[in-house]
Amino acid sequence: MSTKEVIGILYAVEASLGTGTTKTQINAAKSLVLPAWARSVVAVRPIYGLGTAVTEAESCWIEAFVESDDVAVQPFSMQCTPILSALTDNSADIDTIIPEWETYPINAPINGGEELKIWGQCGVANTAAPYLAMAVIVSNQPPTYKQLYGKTGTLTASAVATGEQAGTPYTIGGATNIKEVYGMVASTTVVTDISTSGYFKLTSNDFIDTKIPVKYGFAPIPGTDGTMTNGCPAYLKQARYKLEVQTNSQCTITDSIYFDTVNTTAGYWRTGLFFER
Amino acid sequence: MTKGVSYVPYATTGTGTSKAGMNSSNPVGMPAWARELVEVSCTHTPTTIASVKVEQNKLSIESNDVDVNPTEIVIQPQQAFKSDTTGDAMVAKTEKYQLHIPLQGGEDMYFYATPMITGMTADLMGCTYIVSDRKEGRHRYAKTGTATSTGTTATVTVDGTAYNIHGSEEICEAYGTLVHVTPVTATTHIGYMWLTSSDFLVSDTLNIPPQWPASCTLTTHYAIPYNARPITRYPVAYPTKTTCTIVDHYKSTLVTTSAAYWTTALFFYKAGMM
Repeated sequence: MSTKEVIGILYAVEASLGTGTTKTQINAAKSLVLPAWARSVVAVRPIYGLGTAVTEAESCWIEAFVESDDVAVQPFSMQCTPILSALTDNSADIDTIIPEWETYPINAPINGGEELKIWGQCGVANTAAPYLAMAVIVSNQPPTYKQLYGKTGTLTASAVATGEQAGTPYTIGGATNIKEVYGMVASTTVVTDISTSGYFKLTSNDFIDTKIPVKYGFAPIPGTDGTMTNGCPAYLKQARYKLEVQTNSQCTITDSIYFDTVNTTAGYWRTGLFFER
Repeated sequence: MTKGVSYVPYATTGTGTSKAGMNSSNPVGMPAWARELVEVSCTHTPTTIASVKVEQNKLSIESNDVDVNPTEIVIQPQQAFKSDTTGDAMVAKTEKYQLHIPLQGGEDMYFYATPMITGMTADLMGCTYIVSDRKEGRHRYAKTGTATSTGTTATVTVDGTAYNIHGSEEICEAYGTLVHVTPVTATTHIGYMWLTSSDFLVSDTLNIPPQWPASCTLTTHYAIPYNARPITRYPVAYPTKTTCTIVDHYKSTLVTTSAAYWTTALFFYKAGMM
């Protein structure tokens, strides 16, 4: 007779990531101990926000990491949907808009009692220190699906130009299949009346079938009305795309961004993906 | 397969925490062909924008014809904003709540809106429901905790008011909110909630990390601290004893000088009910 399924939520307690770009272990710098009854880590949900309002001309980029000496989860890093910067006029009123948090499947088999280490790192320094916590969803059943690993590309500064801009190649090892891709853009300074839109492209000679395109739109950043006293164009939700792209076991990926429209200040962009081994 | 959607006309809530009947407090008759009330969602907004007010209501469904007791659901809050001379507000993502209430067709249901935090502005809240001619899922009952103040002291555990679920077999979803009542410039509330009970058949606490309310900076006019999805939801499978007394708790890392409110709620299966 099969055991009835139990699904519980563990919590890695919030910690400030500081105003720099140092990788910081949350949960009071302690490991999160998995319950003895748990047999899989199902998914994680990064929980984040700013302790104060977003600062004008800054966007908040948090990368979250799940690591372990006990469970083969690495690499598992996720780029959280950025909190975009705001425009202020002469009134210095700044909105903050927190996007919807994402949940990322892991499907890692465990024996129960292992420890996870959860880390956060800001891609750019922020005047207002962000905070990061993590919800970890566990089950007493073995995983239903194949385990997923996560990797992000390099946070890349964007040039103020339409057309294609190349990123920095990154490699996934022991890979067999890319299951999901995502990416996001944030302007450093919000500009009136001009939006930012376009798509990402991933290419690799290590894709088994190089004819498969991997091009996907990113959530655009609307412009603002310069006559307003403030403006905060926001992501409400990240754009994520599920796919099946088989790869060589060592797969080096080149990411690039193509701007259809771009505002007149530079910003940052980053791609990320989840893959099977 | 036939699936229909209909709307229960709004109720206007007061400024206290009294229940207000939708559809002018008249029952809503389910279609004769309906065999399940699949899901509900509510939309609401204040009649007039009131500076700095949050609006958080719960939906409750009652019936003399169908066992729906309890069905009370926290609806996505409309968040408070900060205003000096003028102000705007934003409406959060409409949440959909699966219920799978089995029907024979033709039953009467009563829909109510109840403010959860005193002092809110009068709110208009209506409900959209979906019915199906076939059974689509296991019946989910719903219970809310009490909206409780965070206080203004950090790192202190605040205990909520215990609430019971009866006839329970398993908690299938846990969710909650953490909302500004009055945003304070340049700061916010950051913390987490959890449930404890000696009637859980799992030895661990059930954590419900809420989405932290956004912060804002105000100098002259208005600013909107806004969360795209201020209600956070977690599908779980947490077996319980048939009578389960639950205590909810909150602990903060950051607080402001104006207390926020936190609320937990859950959906559960009853033993023997499919």
